[in-house]
Amino acid sequence: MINFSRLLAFTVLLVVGGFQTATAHPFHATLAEGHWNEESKTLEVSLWVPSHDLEKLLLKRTGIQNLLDQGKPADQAIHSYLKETIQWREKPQGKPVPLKWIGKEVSVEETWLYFEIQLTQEPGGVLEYRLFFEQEPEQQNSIEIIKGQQKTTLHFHREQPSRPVRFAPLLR
Amino acid sequence: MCLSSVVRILLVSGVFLMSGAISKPQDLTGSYIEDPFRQMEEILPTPTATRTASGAPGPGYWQQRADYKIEVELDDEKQRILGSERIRYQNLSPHTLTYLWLQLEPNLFQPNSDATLSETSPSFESLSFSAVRRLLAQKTFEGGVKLTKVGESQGNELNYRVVKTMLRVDLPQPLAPEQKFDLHIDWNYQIPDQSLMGGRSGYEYFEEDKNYLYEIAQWFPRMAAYSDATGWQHKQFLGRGEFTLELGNYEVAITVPSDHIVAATGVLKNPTEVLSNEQQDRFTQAKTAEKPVFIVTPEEAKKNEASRSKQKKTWKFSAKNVRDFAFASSRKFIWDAQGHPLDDRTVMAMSFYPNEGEPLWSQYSTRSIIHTINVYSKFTFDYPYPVAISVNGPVYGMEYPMICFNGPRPEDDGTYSKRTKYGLISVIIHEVGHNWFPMIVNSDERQWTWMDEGLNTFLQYLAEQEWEEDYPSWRGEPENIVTYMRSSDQVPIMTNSESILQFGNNAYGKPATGLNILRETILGRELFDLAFKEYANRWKFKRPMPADLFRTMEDASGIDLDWFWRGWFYTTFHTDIAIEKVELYQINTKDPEIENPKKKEREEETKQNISKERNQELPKFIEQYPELRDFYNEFDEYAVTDADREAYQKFLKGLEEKEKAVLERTENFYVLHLKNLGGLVMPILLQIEYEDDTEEMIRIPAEIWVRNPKSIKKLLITDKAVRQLEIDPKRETADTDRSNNYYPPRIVPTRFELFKRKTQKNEMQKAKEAEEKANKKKQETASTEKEEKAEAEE
Ligand SMILES: [Zn+2]
Repeated sequence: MINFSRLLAFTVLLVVGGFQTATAHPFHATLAEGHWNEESKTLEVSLWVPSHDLEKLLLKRTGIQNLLDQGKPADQAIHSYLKETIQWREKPQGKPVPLKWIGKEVSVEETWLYFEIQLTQEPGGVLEYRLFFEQEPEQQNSIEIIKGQQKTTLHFHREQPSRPVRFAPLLR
Repeated sequence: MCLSSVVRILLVSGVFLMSGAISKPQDLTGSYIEDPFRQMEEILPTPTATRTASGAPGPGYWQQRADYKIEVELDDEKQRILGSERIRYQNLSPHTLTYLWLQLEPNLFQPNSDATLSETSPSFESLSFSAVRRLLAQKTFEGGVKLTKVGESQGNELNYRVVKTMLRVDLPQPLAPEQKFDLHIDWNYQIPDQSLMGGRSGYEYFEEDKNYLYEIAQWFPRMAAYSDATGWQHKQFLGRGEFTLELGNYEVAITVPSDHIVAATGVLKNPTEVLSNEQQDRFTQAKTAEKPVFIVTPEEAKKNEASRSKQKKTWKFSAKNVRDFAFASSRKFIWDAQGHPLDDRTVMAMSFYPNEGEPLWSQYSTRSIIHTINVYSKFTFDYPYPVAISVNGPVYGMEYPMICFNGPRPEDDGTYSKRTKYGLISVIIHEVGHNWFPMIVNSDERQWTWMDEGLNTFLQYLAEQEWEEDYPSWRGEPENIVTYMRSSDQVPIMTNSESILQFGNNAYGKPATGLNILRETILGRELFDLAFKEYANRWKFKRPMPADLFRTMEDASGIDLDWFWRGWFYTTFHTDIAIEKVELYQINTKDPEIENPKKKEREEETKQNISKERNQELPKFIEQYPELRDFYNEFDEYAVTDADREAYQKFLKGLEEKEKAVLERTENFYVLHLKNLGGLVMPILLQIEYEDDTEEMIRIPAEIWVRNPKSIKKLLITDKAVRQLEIDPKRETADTDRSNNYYPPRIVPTRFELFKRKTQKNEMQKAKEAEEKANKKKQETASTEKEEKAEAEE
């Protein structure tokens, strides 16, 4: 079986009439890597998402079929979604820091999204990461943050949408 | 049992670790990092007469058998299933049984099922309309099996107990080995709305023409598997771990409205009763056709949508040696078929789909089935069944014997994206492919998802690559698993189906990639294909466990792969091999005429420094007053003296001819210092580029890590000078950090940097930039030279 989680997945898309946007994957997960750029004080993030999940989301948010294959309008829609769902606060009660859109690479099954998180100091604080939570109950997201020789992986799911960003020495 | 409790403990600690900052790789073997080549005996089950140490079924191999006669009615008015079945259960085990277990999978949809209850709360800040609909439907849907009779075939009622998705039936007297028992069960249940409730089966309602399309599976009480390895497999159905069942024969009579078209596991036994003469003629014609032939055309299906027959028809199917039975039924079905010759048989490849699937389905579905049969048969064994069916309906992708459900459809206007096209071909290859794993090689899906999904995804990849050049496969290439392998929140592949984090990467992608690495890099295609085929044939229509795969692959290839199974399947370590440094040695001839100048040169090299260089031009005091010079000013410690020459001659005399020859060798001896940073041992694939522009590829087996799995030195003898080294240039081993794969070291840009570089400037801009950079450098050197000169003059 390819699609176990349709057991718990669902769609209002039938009302809209599109079926093919159902997910093609047996799981719903995203993976990301953020490299800390000391010079510019930004976290340079490459985020991997299954194309079907993203397409489904964009259709739901914009009502436009195959938006993912378009340039600018897709970029804008994705950027605004990322800003809503990925929020990094350097102080727990502070405002989220800016998220700058860099671009995307789309292929049949997978899409890479590129963006920068603009911090004012070394990576720290709290990261909230709600990507696809409203769409997939079993969504799992993780991001690995790499700062020189140190790295940390943060894992997010529906019951744990935010995590403190902390580093420990690399275990080898 | 034992292993899964280990998994649970580790998983708990995994969760704990995730909340902290450090994630530690998991190692179910406990000793991998110290001794990756330790043999597997201590973790594999002890061989028995049922399962031998070679990985083959033993002389005492047994499995139970269950044959079914089922009469079922599909109620299209109320979307219900009403069934009556007779099961003949044969106890072929050496054990006496006092009760039987059956599966009642529709109970998953009861409001109080474990799956519903154990679902964690959604986040209410971002809950969509559809999510709320589903949650509410879950709460009120009258799902679940209603049993109206559980008895012996002679009519006596039996004691039984429903345990969530399982049914325990007490036997009136113990069932001894070799005995049979006939069960009679009547039941009914409400079919769920698949689009709302999800799942592997259900109906889809088409608002426009007010018709239903049913995909019916896991619909009758089925005998749970009883095996030598697990006893009764009655782990509860939570929705993720699929199932394992007993093989047997099925006679199934399906009663539906007479204007429905039915597709099912098995061969249609009464075509004259349910098909028109024209449809029968077309079917006969399809058997020898060169391309798919419509049995029901799109126009006929469209017309049929308006029909509302009050009559009923019963479609009778017979299926031999299958472990399950599924069917689909609708007024909306188009039906196409093409006979595919296999040995002296003809396999009917057939597709059933509504007009909503067109034009994609008539073009690709049946052809994809045939392609799958060809490729999978080549790598395993010939497809043994008489039909292979692909149905389009609400389920995205789910497999049953001889029949599978596949979801992708074009847009309303008949156009479709590239993603939909390849999504459809891939899902059909995948689901038809499941006939081999796990329908025929009957592994236990509820316990080990990877045993069917991983193997099937691997073969899917091979089939996709034989469909067309550069087919956009998602899984299979080592490079595609790198991001996952690098991430820290993993569990080993050898983790029970319900406990897996990241199901797709863990149970599909990683095992499929592992097999690909075994095939391309470790065993080679020929040896791998031989061994993999052996596994498929040994366990065809039998029930293998993980150890049977591991052992067979070694047994048939003659290669000890314990290190690979342990690393790739039992741990979460990854591949990251680094070149730490490279040293160069040359033979010392001891000839002072040769060695002394070399020594001098090296000495001078080491003495070089910037002040010395700049001071060279300064006038020196003793040059002004030459009388200050004495012996030590003239003495050259590297000058060759007669004493040196004599000593050398004496040394040569003491040597044998063979030894003298060695001294004349001029090869370079490179010592490579390599580090294993990822933990996983892997072959070292070393690409060498020489100063004379030639290249060489050296493939060093993983066993190089035997003495020290963390760091090793490798000697390279060559008469040429090495310009550059690269590890794994063809991306075979899923190496997670390429920046340390080079000598001399290279800065490898991150994916982010590569993208930014690629997109932010066009080629002309880049060329211009390069030119500017060169100019700037020229100016800089010019000005430094000027400065230096100025300094020197001061
Ligand atoms: Zn599958």
